[in-house]
Amino acid sequence: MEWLFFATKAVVLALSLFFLVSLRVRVQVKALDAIQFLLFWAFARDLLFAVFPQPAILFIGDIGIYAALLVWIRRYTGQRRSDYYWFVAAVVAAGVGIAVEAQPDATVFTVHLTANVVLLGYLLYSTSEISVHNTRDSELIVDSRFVLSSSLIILAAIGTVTAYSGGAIGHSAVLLHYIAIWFVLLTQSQLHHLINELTIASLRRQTENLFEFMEALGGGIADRVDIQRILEMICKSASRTIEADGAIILMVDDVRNTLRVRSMSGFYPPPYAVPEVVKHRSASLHEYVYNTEIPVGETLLGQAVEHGDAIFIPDSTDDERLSENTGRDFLFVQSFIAVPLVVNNRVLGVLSLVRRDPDHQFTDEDFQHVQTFASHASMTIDNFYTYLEAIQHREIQREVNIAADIQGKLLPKEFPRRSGTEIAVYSKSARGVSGDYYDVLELDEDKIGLVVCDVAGKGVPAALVMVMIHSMLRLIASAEREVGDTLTWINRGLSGQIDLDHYATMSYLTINHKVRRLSYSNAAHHPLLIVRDDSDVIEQLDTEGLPVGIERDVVYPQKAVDLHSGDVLVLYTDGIIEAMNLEGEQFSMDRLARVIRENSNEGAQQITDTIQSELDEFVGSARQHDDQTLMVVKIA
Amino acid sequence: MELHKRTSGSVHIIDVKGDLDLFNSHKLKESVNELVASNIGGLILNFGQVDYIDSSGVGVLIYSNSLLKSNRTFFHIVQLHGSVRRVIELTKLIGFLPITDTEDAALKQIHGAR
Repeated sequence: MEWLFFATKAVVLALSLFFLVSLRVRVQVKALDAIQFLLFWAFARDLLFAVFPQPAILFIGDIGIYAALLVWIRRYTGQRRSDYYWFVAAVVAAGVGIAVEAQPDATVFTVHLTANVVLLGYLLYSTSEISVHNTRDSELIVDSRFVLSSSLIILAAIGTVTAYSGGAIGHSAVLLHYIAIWFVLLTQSQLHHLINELTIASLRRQTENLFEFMEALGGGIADRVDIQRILEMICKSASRTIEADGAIILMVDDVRNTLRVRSMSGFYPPPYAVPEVVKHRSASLHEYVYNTEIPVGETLLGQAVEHGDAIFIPDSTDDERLSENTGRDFLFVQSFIAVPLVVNNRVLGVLSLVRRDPDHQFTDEDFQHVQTFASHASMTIDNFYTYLEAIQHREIQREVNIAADIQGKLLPKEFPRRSGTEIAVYSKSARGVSGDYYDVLELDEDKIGLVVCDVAGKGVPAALVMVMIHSMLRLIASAEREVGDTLTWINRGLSGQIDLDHYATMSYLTINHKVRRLSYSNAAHHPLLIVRDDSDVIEQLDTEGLPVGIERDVVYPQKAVDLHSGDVLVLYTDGIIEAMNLEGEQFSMDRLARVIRENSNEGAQQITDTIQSELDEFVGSARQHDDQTLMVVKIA
Repeated sequence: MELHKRTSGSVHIIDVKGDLDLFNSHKLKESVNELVASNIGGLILNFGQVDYIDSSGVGVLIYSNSLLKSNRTFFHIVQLHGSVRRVIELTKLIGFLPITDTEDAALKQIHGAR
């Protein structure tokens, strides 16, 4: 008969083991170890009792079961100081249980009763104490404690009454154990089934979030939202996708080589020390984190940016990197992810997420999700920057076009020919508007003034410089004023008037037809070329001086030379000698000089035309980057 | 054009890479402005990787020079070469702009002056 009971128990035990093992394969549950131990313990006890039917075996076996259950409960609630006394009491009870075996029934009964009331009482009390308010994941214990407690009470009662002598009643009662354990396992498996369902739902939601995010970004670009809104969207979506408690985006400040917070969502305890004052109020903590600049390379966030590698800490326990965020601290973080936002090997910033629930750590999958997300987000941010650049480019181009209108009104339409001196100009802009400016002034009956100027930059500021030079020339230049003085005054007028980064190189010369004399002054422009009628040698005339518009106190010197009938004067800008053909070869000063020499007997217009056609032939279809201006004067 | 920033002590170094022209020189200008606003010990512009500069770029150099001068901050332009150097030469700005051959020499000058 006993063997039949034993066989029944063996079947139940085998089933329990199978259930247990299959459950272990599916889910990792830390609390299951104690239950598993309980099963083995009960099995060993019954096996031992079947061989040596000593009541003490059953009695000590039960105390062992209480101990296992207490350990199991403490997995959830944490250790209590009183547990120590309980274990001492349990050992004493076991010892006394063996010692009193030969004693009269009444003594045995008292010992069993006392041990059960004290040991089981404490266990039941500890179990009943548990609620959702004081214990994490208490659901399993709360759900199963009635069945567990009542089965234990029944067992203890039967054990005490029958003096743990086994027998039919004792054995039937023992089966209760297995049923109770079954119940616990069943509840647990249902719980995990539920968690699995939730996981699947959350995965589906993640995918949906990602699509939503991409769509929103597409719309965002079309709506011309600013970068700030895009960053906030990325931050929120990432946080929602992996169900983080908090998320943050910091962007690299290239100039200061630091990270600055650009967006934050949820509650994000930062991975660095925070002053006590701000720690405990989430509003002030939020403000503190928002305004804290992190040098690249410092803290986990700075390291992720410096090395361009993602950091994943699923479990902060005992991880020194998160020493500021452990234990019962307000800044507690269970799981941490920091992923750099990288495009073309350039780190733009970092996206970091945290989870605070100790039993809900980030998984490898979450980490992968964030990485995918981050790479998509980086591309979006980069695209946005490119888009901004394109807009900027367009604005500059638009400005350049406005400047072209202004310039068109400034350049002389025709040149004075009264004196017989022939002037010809060839000017071509590289991109809609030229930075080159030229002018011819009739100073008096005998004297003309010629200007060739290369203004730095393009667009409205450059056009304004031209306007100023144009006006000042008409105010300052006169037949009596020396050319050097004229440049000195123009420079004084320009310096301080215009933006510091606008300047012009400028050649100014006057020609007196009557006495055939030339005066020349140069503000860092190309020297004046003179080809004498009777010589093939090209003279270069130059004077010292910075470009105009840079230093207020520059005094420009001048040079004067005599001219002869048939002499050719040539002024030009960079674009002429630096004109490039498709092979990357420059037109060069040598070629210009050769063309001038070969044609110096021709008229000014003819020389200009020849240079122009040689230039066109040389560059072919190559696009020019600089404006070209050429002024040729033939002395009558 | 790309700008890469480094520091050597309190001296900030900007490595300029690529062409400096009308369409991007404002970026260098903005960077210089930002750095100057944050109270730096000196600024070095490394032009070792610049092969082309137009007048707008030169304008930014002149601007930076004036700004840092008025701010009493050390400023050096280093490793000018090729056509970039020639443009500066032609514009007669070689003596005007604080041009130093190498970064080390510039750093030595800055630290020596203190």
